[in-house]
Amino acid sequence: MGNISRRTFLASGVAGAGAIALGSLAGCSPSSTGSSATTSEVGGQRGGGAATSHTQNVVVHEADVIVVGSGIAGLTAARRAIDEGATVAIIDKGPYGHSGASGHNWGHSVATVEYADPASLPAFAAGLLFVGDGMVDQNYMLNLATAWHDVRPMLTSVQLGSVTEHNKEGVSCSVVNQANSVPENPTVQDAGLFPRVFARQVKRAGAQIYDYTYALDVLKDPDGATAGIAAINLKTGEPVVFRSRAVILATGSFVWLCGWNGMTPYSHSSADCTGDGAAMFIRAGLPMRDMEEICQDNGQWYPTGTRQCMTGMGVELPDHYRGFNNNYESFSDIITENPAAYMNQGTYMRLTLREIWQGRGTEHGGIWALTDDLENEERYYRPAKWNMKRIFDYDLPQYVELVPQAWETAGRPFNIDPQTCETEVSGLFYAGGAPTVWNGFVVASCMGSAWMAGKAAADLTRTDERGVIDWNQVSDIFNEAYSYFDNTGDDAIRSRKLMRNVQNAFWDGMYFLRDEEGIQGTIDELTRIQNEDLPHMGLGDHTPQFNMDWRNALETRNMVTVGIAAAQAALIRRETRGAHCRTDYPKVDNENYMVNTKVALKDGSWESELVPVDDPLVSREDLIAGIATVGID
Amino acid sequence: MADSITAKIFRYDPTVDEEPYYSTYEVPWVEDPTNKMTGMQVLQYIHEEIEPIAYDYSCISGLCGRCSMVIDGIPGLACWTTLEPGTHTFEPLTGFPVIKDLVVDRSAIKERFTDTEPYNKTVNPISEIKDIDYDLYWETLERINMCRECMSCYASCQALQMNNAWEKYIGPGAMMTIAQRYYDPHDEANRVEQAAFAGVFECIQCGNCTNVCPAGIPVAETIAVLQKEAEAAGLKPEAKSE
Repeated sequence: MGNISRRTFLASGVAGAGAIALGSLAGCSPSSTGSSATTSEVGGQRGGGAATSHTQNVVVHEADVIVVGSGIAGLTAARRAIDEGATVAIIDKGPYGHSGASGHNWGHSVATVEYADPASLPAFAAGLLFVGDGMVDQNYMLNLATAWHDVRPMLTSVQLGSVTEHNKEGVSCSVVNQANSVPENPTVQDAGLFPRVFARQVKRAGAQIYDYTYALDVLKDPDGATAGIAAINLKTGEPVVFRSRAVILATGSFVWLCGWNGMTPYSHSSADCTGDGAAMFIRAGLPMRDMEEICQDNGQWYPTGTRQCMTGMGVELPDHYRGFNNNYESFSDIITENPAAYMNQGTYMRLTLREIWQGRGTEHGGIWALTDDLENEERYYRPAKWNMKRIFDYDLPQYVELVPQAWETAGRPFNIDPQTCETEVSGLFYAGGAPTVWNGFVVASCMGSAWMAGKAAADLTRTDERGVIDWNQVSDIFNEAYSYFDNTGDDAIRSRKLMRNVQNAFWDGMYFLRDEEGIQGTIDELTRIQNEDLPHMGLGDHTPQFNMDWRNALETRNMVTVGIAAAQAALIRRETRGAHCRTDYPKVDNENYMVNTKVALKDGSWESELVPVDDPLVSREDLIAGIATVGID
Repeated sequence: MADSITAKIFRYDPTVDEEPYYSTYEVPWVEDPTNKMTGMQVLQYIHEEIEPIAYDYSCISGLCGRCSMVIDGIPGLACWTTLEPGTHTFEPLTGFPVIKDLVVDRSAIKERFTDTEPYNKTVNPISEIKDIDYDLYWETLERINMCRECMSCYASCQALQMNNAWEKYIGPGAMMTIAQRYYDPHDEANRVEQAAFAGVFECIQCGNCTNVCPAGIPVAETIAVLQKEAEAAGLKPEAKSE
């Protein structure tokens, strides 16, 4: 690798391989950006192998649209952008089609409006504002409902190869439930949407796949518009730049903050869900909305070595009649008696936490699920009783202990264009499960937002030139990322350990039952970790190739940022609503909190405020009068 | 009963190690109502409490397929491999290139799944979901839905690993995506012909795939159905006739 000046490098255009000085790797001071190639020693500290000489070549890829995340949101965005004629590159930190929540590929249950008359959708969207406890971006919801219709989740899933659930008569759930749907609520429940068939299709359709590639940050051109993504190839440890005018962040939730440092993770979701996208949005200067909303479901406590099998004993609505408190009493009759008013996962979550908070929970702080006659409900029987018996030779008892686990988060950039999902950073798009992940439409929202973003991103690349890469920014990003290899002193804290400390700090105050003192404690401890521990975060593994500790270090940095953001939002919502429960404010306070929370990191300081909900569709007064007030009191 | 697990772990970082080697670790036994520990528990303990080792995982619940490896000679998911106290050996998936320690590159074989054109081939777009027999759905099609692409069937397949039929035979996992469309009433393509040209007769019906499949897919049995159908269609190669 010869010397390549910044000027000649830029002049050489895109899709070339550049070289960038990563001084910190070699332990010398960072040299000027991109001005020379340096050779760094990467120590061979295991197996007796020799140290290797390693030149940090920055590989540059380009595409019209970069999608970060290959879950159902990222895959849908990619499908749409390709369909609109754009070239697409997909980056994922895990193996393609196998990462994050979608990578579980368990056959998601989906609430779909694809069979509805489109004219019915505005009224339907208005109704959903109540299901979302009012804290919904109304203009966004209006467009999203149309996108839910147009993206056709179930029929597309079947076309691409999923076999969806069929009843004992051999009839598809979609067909059965269409017959039962009514014009005012055209929702049809179905099950069996497998993200992996989408992954195969997107690959076939021509997307360039860069998996095991960790997106570090969004690159901006001198005008502040999106210019690409800086990333690391985790297989080899090499730095990679993706150059594009349009970037869609579809990285999923941050529920791994609620993971636990034992064998039973307190998360239904994936260890991949570390809030990488949320952290990138925050570092890009964007305020975030409703970060306190972390939705809970109930997960099986035993066996120790495995998380409960997805959809197994989650006491899913409308099957929550299986849930009982420690006195073996039902506690959710209010929902079964008046489903129109109360049927949503947020209500069930609050009712569950009420039992636990008021001392009627189980030994490990959960509830009981009744497994009688599970054999007659294959969808629940298979992942629970059947798997437990055939894999663990374990007979589920009549009552199974379930504990609260995080499964999804609702936070997203505060301001996005309701028709395109573009953020306030030109060319930077959001795709994900917001708003209000307890409304029963998470998969549809992931697909709907991606459907809008994919088209808008493709459109943008037709009109706008690609941004210019700021190699100073690139250098800063990579220098920080590689600096963790340098923290080898006695005061170094292994990233894996620090990640667990971050999870504990988050769990201490941001567990589903929160109060002022606890939340502030989480903020204080995460801030201390940020200031005192992160600078000493080191790695137990010292070669860049598939270095789990390195990946954990990069994730831990993001988890600290996102954890503080979520706690800041939780602090100012002094009431109970949606997926946010406060023991010091156990009531739903419609009068004072028909608001969204807004948190932002400005010049190193956190700012937070309550913003009254925008109400073009349903007025605040009507929301205040009509939102059910089921708290934890 | 011993109160620990002795784990012998395959180690190899191709960037620094001249040869693979094994490291041995003592892992304390954890009591549990199932009286079992999982391979994933053992790996997590070593990685967090003793020293870093490379392995891949995401869900810890038998769904994502990322922790497939060979434990005590048998391919499977570490999170769904149950262990008794005693000595156990952990090795990377047979027949796949090692990235580091227990992490292998499955991407080339994943391509085979995509190459089967696994979507429903229809002249017109599907507008209504058709009926499917309940037993066919739960015993075969739903299980193929749940294929983890963990590649345990490839690691155990005698046609591939012993007979080296890699060029002629697409392999058991990708053959299941063909079978899923064969059974799917929506699909309008000739999947029996496709199975024949994808080497279905290379399968020698050893049954290893069925035994190791974490999703419980009746792989060998389903391949036997395709073999029978292909033979009936006159697609069985002469060299294979008896």
